[in-house]
Order: sequence, then C-alpha cells, then structure tokens
Amino acid sequence: MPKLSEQFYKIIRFSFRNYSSKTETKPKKDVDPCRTFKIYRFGGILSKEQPKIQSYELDVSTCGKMVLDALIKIKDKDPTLTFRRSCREGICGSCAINLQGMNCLSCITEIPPAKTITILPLPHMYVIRDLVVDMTHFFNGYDSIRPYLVRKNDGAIGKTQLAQSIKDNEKMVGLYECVLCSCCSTSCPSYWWNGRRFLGPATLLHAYRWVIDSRDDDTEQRLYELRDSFKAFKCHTIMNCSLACPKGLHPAKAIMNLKRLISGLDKKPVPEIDPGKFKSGGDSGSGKNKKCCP
Amino acid sequence: MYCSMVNFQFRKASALSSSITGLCRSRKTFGKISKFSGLLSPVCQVADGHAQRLKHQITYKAYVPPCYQDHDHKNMALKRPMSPHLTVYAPTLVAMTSIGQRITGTLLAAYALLLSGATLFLPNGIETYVSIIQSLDLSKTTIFILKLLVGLPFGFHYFNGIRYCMFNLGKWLSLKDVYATAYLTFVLTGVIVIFFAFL
Repeated sequence: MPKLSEQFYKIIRFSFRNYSSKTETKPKKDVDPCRTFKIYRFGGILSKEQPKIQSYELDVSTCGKMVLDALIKIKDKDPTLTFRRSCREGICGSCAINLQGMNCLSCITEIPPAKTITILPLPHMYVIRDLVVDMTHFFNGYDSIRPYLVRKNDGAIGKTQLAQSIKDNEKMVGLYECVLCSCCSTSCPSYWWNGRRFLGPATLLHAYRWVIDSRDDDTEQRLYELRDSFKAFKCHTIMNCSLACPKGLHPAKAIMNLKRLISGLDKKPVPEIDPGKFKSGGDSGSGKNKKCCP
Repeated sequence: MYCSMVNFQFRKASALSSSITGLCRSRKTFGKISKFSGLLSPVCQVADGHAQRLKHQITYKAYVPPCYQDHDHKNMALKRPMSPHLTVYAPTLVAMTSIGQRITGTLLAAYALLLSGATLFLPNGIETYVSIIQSLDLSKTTIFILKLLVGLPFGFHYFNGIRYCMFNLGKWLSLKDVYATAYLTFVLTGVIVIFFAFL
C-alpha cells in the first residue's frame, strides 16, 4: 500500500512539473550514473520463446541524455535488441515506448533519475519483436475518419488558395501537431478494452481537427459517421491521454469538444472568411487562365 | 524440361509409374525421348520412385489473395503476445479517480439492490436489525469507522460525479484544473463523510 501512494506522488510531481506554469526546478538528488535498464524482450514468433524482461547495465554518462541514446548504446552491446526509431527529434512518432509505466517518445524523453529504468512496449498491443508492436488497427482507425479536406462544389482542390482567418487557423493549434505516435491511445484503458471499435484519442483528435477546420465542407457527414456508441462515446474522460502526450497536446479536451459537436450541443462556427474567396470567377477547365500558378 | 526428358531415357526400363509422369510436365515429351538417346548423363539427380520437382523447375500457382482476418484474429493466429497493460501502466491520479468513480458507482448500486432486496425478503422489519446491530455493542470508534467506510462511496461518487459532469460541459478540462478539482474532490469527500460519520 505505501508503495502505491509513493507512485501516486511521483506521478503527481511528474505531471505538475510538466504542466505547471511555474519554472521547472531540477531534481536535487544525484543518482549514480551506472543504471540498470530492464527491457522487455521477445524474440518473435519463430523463436518460440516466451517474452521476458532482460536487465542491462549501462553507464549513462557515456551516452546521450535521452532514452533513445541509452537504447542505441545497449544495442551496441546486444545487437538483437529491436526498437523503432527514425527522426530522433520527436516529430516522426516512431519511437513510442512505455518508460517507468508512462508512455513517451524515447528520443525526446530524458533518462529519468532512477536506479532501475523499465522499458516496455506500448501497452495492449500485439508484440512483433522486443519493443516493436503491430500498429495496424491504430492506423486503420485513423484512415477511417477521412483525414483529408473535403470541399463541395469546388472542382479540384489545389487550384487556388483556400482563405482562412487567423482566428480560425488558431483553432487548429494543438491539433495539427499530432504525430500519430499512439502514446495517448495506448495509455487509454478504454482503448485497451475496446480498441477495435473505439477510435482512441489520437484518431479523435484528428477527427476534431478536420471537423473544426473552417475550410472543410463535410462537417455534417463527418459528425454523422462518428455517431455511435463506440467510435467517440466510449471515451469516459479518463484523461490518461493528455498526460501521456509527448507533444503536450490535449486530446481529452478535443474529444470533449467533438462529443459536444456530435451530440448537437455545440455547432461549428461559420468561417470568418469565405474559403473560396480567392477563386477567380468562372472556372476554366485547364487552369491556365488562373492568376496563381503559372 | 530438358533434364526431365533426358531422365526419361534412363527410366525407360522401369514401368511408367505415376512418379515418372509427374516428372514430365506433359505427356507429349514421351514421344520425343528417342531423339535424346545419345546424350550424356543428366546433371540433375532425382530420387527413385518419388514424385519430386527438380530444383530448377519453376512452378506457377494461381494467385489466391490472402483471406482477410481482422486484427485480433490475425495476430492470435500468428501467436503474437500481447504487451503488458494493466499490470504495468502507472496508476495516474486521473485514471484512479475514473476507475474509483466506476467502482463507487457499482458499490452504490449494490447498496441500493441489497437494501431493496432486504426490505422485500427479510422478515421482521427494520427495527429488529437495528437492535441486532445495537446488541453487538461496538465501541464508538468502530461505529465511526464503519460509518466512514460505508459513507465514503457516497461522498466520493457525488463530488467526483459533479467534476465529471463539468468535464462534459467543457469546463475544468485543462490539466491543471483536472488535478486541482481532483484534490478538491478528495477534501470535500473527506469533510462531508467525516461530518456524517459523526452524526
């Protein structure tokens, strides 16, 4: 029991430090640089072995300060360790892992000041090998919300600039930055139990991003498609998603706004500027007469 | 094809078993064997009597698109393990208040069901059960603690419920507010439940 409350306080401190408006204070205690990394290992379905936790000793003063640096250093010693990574700057979303019980991107998360560091794959996903998981259903869910602009009666998109006021553009701040790392979705217990029908925070964040985009015309259809017991409404405002987001986004708030739009409590505001404002009068078939692109 | 035809020559002595016709791609070549009678021994060896495809022979099969399996069935068929979830994920305050809401809600529903069931089926009316509890002669502290335990679900569910209703209205959704209101819930629950336990 005491250990559980300790964990609570650690998480609370972690959250407050990351989300408080005060300046961050560095942790005072110094931890010995020789750390133990406990990493989930699974050799793949052909290896016929059971998943296990393997311990690695690493001196963190010999590698960069991010968890990804530590993983790469460990891989130098044990080349069989497998994990996804690409951009090393938190923009691609490949390196999502579960570190000390919380989901994060390993490339932008500092090695925590703890003696033992536990690295596991994203929770409740089928493991392909070591820290690599099968993300197929996550991406299928994302594709199902039609994450592209839909204009009605406009001819081909891309011929002219679509106008948008600054205020309307600011509505999408905090929504377009999502990198689809799935840290949020895999931290949501509702997504664990209902992941095939519930879309999850990441997808719903994107669904909201397309719904409130003032340039998008298909709002009614988008909201209609989300109107069932599972797709959006299996969100029980657990809020684990907003805590887990490595980009500092707030999926829970976006989902609440989306739920209010789906249920009709709120209405999408009319765009401040008509998006078709820059369209020259009279569509020509080839577009050669348009002023914009030569 | 060449190799199989050459092989045929050497197999001529043996009966035309189905294995040999298996070697030969088409029956037509059987007639042409005589032309190759003067050739050297074939490069490829074939096991006797068994229908085996020679290594260089390319066989073409009609394309069968893979049978669609949903994500779970596909992965379960592949026998991939599920990554740990409930046992490893950190117990965040927000998640604990959420599951606490659910648990206290079930407890309250259970209270209601038990009470209604008891009123319906237990004999002798409520006074008998009150006097039974009184006859147990529990100390004041025990009674206080029992009242606290019974009342905690009520208090927590009530105040947390208000918090969640405000979330649904779009209020108190910023993380700072979420945590602040969670602490407020705890404080209010404590105050109210202790107050009622004293009564």
